[in-house]
Amino acid sequence: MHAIDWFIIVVYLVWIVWDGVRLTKNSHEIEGYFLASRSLPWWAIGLSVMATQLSAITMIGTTGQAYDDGMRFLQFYYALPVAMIVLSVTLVPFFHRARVYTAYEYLERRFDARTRALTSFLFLVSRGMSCGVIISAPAVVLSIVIGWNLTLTCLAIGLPTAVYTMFGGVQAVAWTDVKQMVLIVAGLVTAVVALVLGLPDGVGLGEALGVAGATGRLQAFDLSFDLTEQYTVWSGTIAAFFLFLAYFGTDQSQVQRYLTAKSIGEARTSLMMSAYWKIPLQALVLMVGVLLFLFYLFTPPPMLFNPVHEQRVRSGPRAAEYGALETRFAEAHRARRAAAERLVAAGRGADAAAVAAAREAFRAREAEVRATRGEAAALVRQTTGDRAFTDVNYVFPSFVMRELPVGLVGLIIAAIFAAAMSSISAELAALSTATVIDFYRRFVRREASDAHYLRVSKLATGFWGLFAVVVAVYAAQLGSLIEVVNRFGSFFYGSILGVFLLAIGVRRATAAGAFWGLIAGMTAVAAVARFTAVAFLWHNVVGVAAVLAVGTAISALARRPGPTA
Amino acid sequence: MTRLGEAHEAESGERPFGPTAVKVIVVELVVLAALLAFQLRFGL
Repeated sequence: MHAIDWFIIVVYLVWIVWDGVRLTKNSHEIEGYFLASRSLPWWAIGLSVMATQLSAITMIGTTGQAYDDGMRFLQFYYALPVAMIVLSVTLVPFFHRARVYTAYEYLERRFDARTRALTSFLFLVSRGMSCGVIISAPAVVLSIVIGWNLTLTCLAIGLPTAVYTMFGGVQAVAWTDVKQMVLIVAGLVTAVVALVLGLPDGVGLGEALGVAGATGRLQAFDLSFDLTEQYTVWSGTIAAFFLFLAYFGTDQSQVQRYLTAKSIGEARTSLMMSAYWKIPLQALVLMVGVLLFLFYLFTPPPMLFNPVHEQRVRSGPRAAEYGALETRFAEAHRARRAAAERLVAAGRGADAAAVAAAREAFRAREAEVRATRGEAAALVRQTTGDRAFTDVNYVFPSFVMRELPVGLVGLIIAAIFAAAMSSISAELAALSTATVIDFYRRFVRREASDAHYLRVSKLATGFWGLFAVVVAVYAAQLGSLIEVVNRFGSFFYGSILGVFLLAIGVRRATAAGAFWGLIAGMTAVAAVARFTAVAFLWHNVVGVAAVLAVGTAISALARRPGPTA
Repeated sequence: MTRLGEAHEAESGERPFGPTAVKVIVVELVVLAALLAFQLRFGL
């Protein structure tokens, strides 16, 4: 990487830490540290919420997913605006009126300390682990593509974030998020412009999109009803609706954001920013992936985008086999390019039959390229023993490093850093809040000065920052752990939402009903995940349904009058 | 649950949320329609 790109990344890292730490002066008491003294404007909260969700995994993984599979993932977000409306009417005013620090605090008021402690504990375990994954996933890719040391990459992402979150609290999180969001969008727009300019002369953007469409990559609506299919209109509007209710309504990392708002109106408006912009923003991210596909349609790509794995195969006993595949891939790519050019030319005429024939021919060539890449990936799996190998996460960073000019490389790598850091900082602040408010202040030291709690809060933030970096380093070495952590999180999102729905919607629900309902919900989700092929988005629906059914039944039994003597 | 939100609006003097909710739904429908048109134009 060029010195100018290094300079841009270092300047970004130094500036963001300085910018966050200088907000320490506004966090002298615990309400300022955790809730910004409930003073933030809606637009800052809204941008901060969106920055948290747009992680480095989104920039790297989602663009790669769109390169390989197209825009189908967009369907996942179709329920988000409706979920935001429901939350604005229900939980947002509820939490604001309750004047709570954490969402789980409310559960003790409604049920008991046991239910609060369990839900908060589940949050701490899952978010603590996922924080590590948020660091490790991009660190693995960046360390390979750029050639950095993996542990140092984890530290470069995790430690600066931990420092400014520890000193500046939630104010630092929100205001750095705002600036990081600007950098992320600038990085994405730069990538789109570079990719469009990278199309060959004589091929218009509309014509190129028509070629991508021929492969099904522009399909944003899949109406088939299949519970084992991850992304369809139905899973996106029904199952994801529950996931968004759970995430934005009960996950402390999100609830804490709208608790920082000046008023209920400002909190609602901040959520509306996501309601309006999340789908277009996600479409922009996915479009980067589709444009990457178009770019590499006309420019020869590497057969596999992960250079380390590729090198291991080249230096192994099956190098000749890999070399033969590369020759076949180069021929298949040339044939696909020629077929794409014929499709573009046919599209300029008025002969529908010629267009259909050209489209079929292009699809056949595309299938050949995919098959060759598939064989190469299988060879890597056999040679390296990495059974989960896939190179889609390397497509975008590889493009940035190979194709972009000096300066833009630094800008986009800095944007990937910003995406990772903006997600981690919010998680760290939420983890610290839940640790101090739900456990330390509740069970360890109930009466202490604000200064004492503030010191403990900063220590807790620092602890979770270190914990996340340590998990990141280990997760990076055990690739399959990332999937385990992601699945683990989906086990209880729906169940926790079920407990909140019991609390707010079922007047006769009891503490025992809530606690055992939560256990039943998680058990039901674990059983569905273990014994069926139902896609994970539907697990949220299973969790909610089980908690409501069991929780309501146990509450009814507990309230039934016993026999009189 | 809607009653809960409405009751709160009444007691706190908050701006009614109904018009905003309608606007969000309308904008989402427009965005989805645009995506569908995009898919039909380029994706088939």
